[in-house]
Amino acid sequence: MAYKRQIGRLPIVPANAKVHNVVCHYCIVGCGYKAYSWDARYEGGTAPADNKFGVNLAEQQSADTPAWYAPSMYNIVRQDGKDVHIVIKPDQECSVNSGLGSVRGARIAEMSYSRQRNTQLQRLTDPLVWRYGQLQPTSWEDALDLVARVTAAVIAEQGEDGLFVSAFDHGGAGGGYENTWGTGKLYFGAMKVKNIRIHNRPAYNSEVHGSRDMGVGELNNCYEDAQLADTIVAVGTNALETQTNYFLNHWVPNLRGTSLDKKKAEFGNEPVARGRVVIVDPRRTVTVNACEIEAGKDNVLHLALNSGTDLALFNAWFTYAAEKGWIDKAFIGASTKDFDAAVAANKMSLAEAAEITGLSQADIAKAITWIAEPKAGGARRRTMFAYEKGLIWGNDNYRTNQSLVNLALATGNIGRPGGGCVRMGGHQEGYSRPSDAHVGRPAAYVDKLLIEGKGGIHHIWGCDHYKTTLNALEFKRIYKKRTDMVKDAMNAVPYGDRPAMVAAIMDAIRKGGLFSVDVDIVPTKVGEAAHVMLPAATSGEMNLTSMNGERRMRLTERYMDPPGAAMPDCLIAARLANHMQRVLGEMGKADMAAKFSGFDWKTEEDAFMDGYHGHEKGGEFVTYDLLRAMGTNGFQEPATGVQDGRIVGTKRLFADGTFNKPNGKAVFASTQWRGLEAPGKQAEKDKFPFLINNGRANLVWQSAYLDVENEFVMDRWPYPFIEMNPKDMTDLGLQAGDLVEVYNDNGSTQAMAYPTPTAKPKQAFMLFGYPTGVQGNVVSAGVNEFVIPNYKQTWGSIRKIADAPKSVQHLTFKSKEYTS
Amino acid sequence: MKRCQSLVDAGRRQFLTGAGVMTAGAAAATVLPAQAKAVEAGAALVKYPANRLANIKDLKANVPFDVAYPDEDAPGVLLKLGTAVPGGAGPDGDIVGFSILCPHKGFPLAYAAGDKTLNCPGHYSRFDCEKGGQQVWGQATQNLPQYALRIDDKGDIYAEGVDELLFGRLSNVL
Repeated sequence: MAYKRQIGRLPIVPANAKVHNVVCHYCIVGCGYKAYSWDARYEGGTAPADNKFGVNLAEQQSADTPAWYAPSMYNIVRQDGKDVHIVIKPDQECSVNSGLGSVRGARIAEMSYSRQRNTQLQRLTDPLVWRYGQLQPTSWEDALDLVARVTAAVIAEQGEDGLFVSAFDHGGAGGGYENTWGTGKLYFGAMKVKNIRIHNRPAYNSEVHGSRDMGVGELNNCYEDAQLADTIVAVGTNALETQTNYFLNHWVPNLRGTSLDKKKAEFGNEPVARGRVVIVDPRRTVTVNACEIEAGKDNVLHLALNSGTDLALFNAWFTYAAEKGWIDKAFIGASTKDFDAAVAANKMSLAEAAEITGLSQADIAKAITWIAEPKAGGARRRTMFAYEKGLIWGNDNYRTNQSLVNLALATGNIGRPGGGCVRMGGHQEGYSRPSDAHVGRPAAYVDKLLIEGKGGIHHIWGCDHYKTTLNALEFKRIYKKRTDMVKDAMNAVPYGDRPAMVAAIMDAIRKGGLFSVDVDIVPTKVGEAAHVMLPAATSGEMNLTSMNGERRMRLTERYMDPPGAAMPDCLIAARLANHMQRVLGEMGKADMAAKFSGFDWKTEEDAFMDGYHGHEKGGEFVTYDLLRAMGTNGFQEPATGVQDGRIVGTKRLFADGTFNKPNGKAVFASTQWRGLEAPGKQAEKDKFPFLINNGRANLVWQSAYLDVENEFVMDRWPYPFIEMNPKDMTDLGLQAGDLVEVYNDNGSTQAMAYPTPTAKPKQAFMLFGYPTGVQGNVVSAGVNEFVIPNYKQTWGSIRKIADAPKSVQHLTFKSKEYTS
Repeated sequence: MKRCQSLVDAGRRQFLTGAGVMTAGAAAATVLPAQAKAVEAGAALVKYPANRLANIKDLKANVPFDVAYPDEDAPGVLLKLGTAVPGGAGPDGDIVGFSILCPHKGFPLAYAAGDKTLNCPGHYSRFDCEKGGQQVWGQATQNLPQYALRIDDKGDIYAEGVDELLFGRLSNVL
């Protein structure tokens, strides 16, 4: 049977409950929530005067009511040392989600640390150190002293290049402006660490170098543009699953035709109609289905192209639009350069593109007509271009990204209402760090260097390579071997003898060992290798600022205590810097020690004021007090001033036609098609029968690290699914739910077969980044010229391992597509 | 239950606010339940009424039978699925009952006889009636509330409890 909570009643939020602003910390959309908390001994009543909603709760409430919450939105937590009830539910007043809760955000309360209700007891409560053959609790002083001594010793022998770092660079949980500044000031301020990578990729680089190099920052529009566009072009983005409430609250009204009044108000006499959508994705997703339901099949064009051929399609569109004159000549002249050169360089006929992409010429032409053909009366068609990992983690990232921006620029669709050429995003953003220029470009391929035996110490902040990197099985094999060398050395020395312990560790490092320090909120998979684990606080256990996919910055207020001794990452970084300064001083390295000054922060707000407020564009206008007053709507970055106690923001970037280039002109790029670009990909395709396409799922999008301890989620996905064509399953002797092995020359992994009639033959789709079957195990080490991984173009073989295990037998394997 | 076209035209969210659900609930209640008992003060669990919802003879295979439980404002369906399922009642082990208010936002679910799922026109969530109301895909953070059913010698079908919180009420029995 499906998992049921057997909860028939919940405590009622009393009228005097405390209210805190909350922004969902899982995905980039950043939906607004409110946290209601009150003394655990009491509850409100059903009479209107006795509850926070002022309604009669003895009656059935209507659909969409703000006066209801699911069991997943409720918990008992500690707040200022006392037990409180807490309800965290979506905020009707937030323009992002208008009261909609996602299947992730609506579980924020249930996914909080509660000893009272036994949720998330996996959370780290104390610093842990390798002692007597296992990880054991210790004090912050002891753990940080060990980390500082080994770090300083490695730097003394190998220089700062011996310190490897993996660190989040985003917003939301495991990030935010406070924490990116804390870690950034440590590694780019006090030190100049070069061997550093980001949480989801093996180097310190942008996923959208291509767009930025053209002068076009990637989050340049606002969510309202999805309601205003004539046409939305969605490339490699499955927005219903991975930007759920952005899709539901802003795309759907346009596809349904219910945003027409908004269009008329904005555009006056310009012809407007219900929106149309072009979806570029080799796979039919639930997003395609939802678009067809809302807009009608006639207004949806799903281009299921050959995997990795997007660039050829975009070049053909660009060529076609230029030849037809469906371009914005005034804009091109005033705000861009190199258009003619790009037209010449990127020439691609419909016939050539059809050959490469596997699409029909008619469909390619129909799509560009929807995108660029002027409307009645000659008005420019407003088209919004949205892309995500299908492009970013796809073939030839840099050029493909640029070829899409080429088209958006040529059609005058950046900085204008109903336009934009934007990434859809993963986490919220929250980047604030000293310059990373010393890292260089291409940046160091950190995973590769670690596999080659480089480095002596590895600091990890909120990353889990064992789950979410490429070439993951090989990485794990080597990483385990190197860290085991240090563990064995530590086992031979009494823990209390610090000089002997550091000497033993350094001896093992000289022999190829690696000392691993993992800062996280939960015991991660890569944490299995750690010698020290440091417990961090997460969103809501600290005040945390981030911005969403339309640059909307909000403050999530601290509404509960962190577990045990856990601290915000920015303060962990500061305390580590304090210890480094002390230890370097003791070593007689006064010059180095001096660089670790400026870390006297007592609170996360101190880090915010030092970082974002002091260093970011418009940051001088932004304070916690102002953000608190602006609730879950906040403002859109960058801030330009303060008026009447409210921060004034920026609705769209580049609205004045000035781009991020020295002369303000965006630059068109030459983006010739060059086949499967990453080394080894074409050979892999030729050798193995199945495309192992991969991506995310609604239920566990950006939340899997906590979901592993959530019964509702693990009941549904005990193993990662792999969607397969039913005939392929028959050929392999597979029933629904059978465990299969996916394998190729890079490694192997496992998944649970999910029969999917819409899946093309020999094109499987596997859930990415799941702890009980890591898709990255079969992704090759091949990257693009800037060390961007290419997860999507992976080919392998599939074979049966076992019949569906007990935990799978009760599952449904019906189509995920809504049926009317 | 066919998806209502007027709902689509009006924009579902707007249509369903206010009295929409109350109307749907009243219309769905073809069998009037017994009056629900008041909750006892201090009770740790909700005390569910045992309400007669239908007789086996009322059910046709794979056709939803509209009911309401535990009171007239809580619409649901009984289904005779045709094959035995976990938790199924009756001589064939194939009779199940579910709330039809989507546990995400409270929109009324529609039955798709083709694959025996209940589907939400609001935000595309769907629940498998053959798997205890497991959410196949969707936005709800719980599986679909299912009735505990008892069938007596005369074939009368009684609901005697629900296994998840119903949308729109903080106590399943008001």
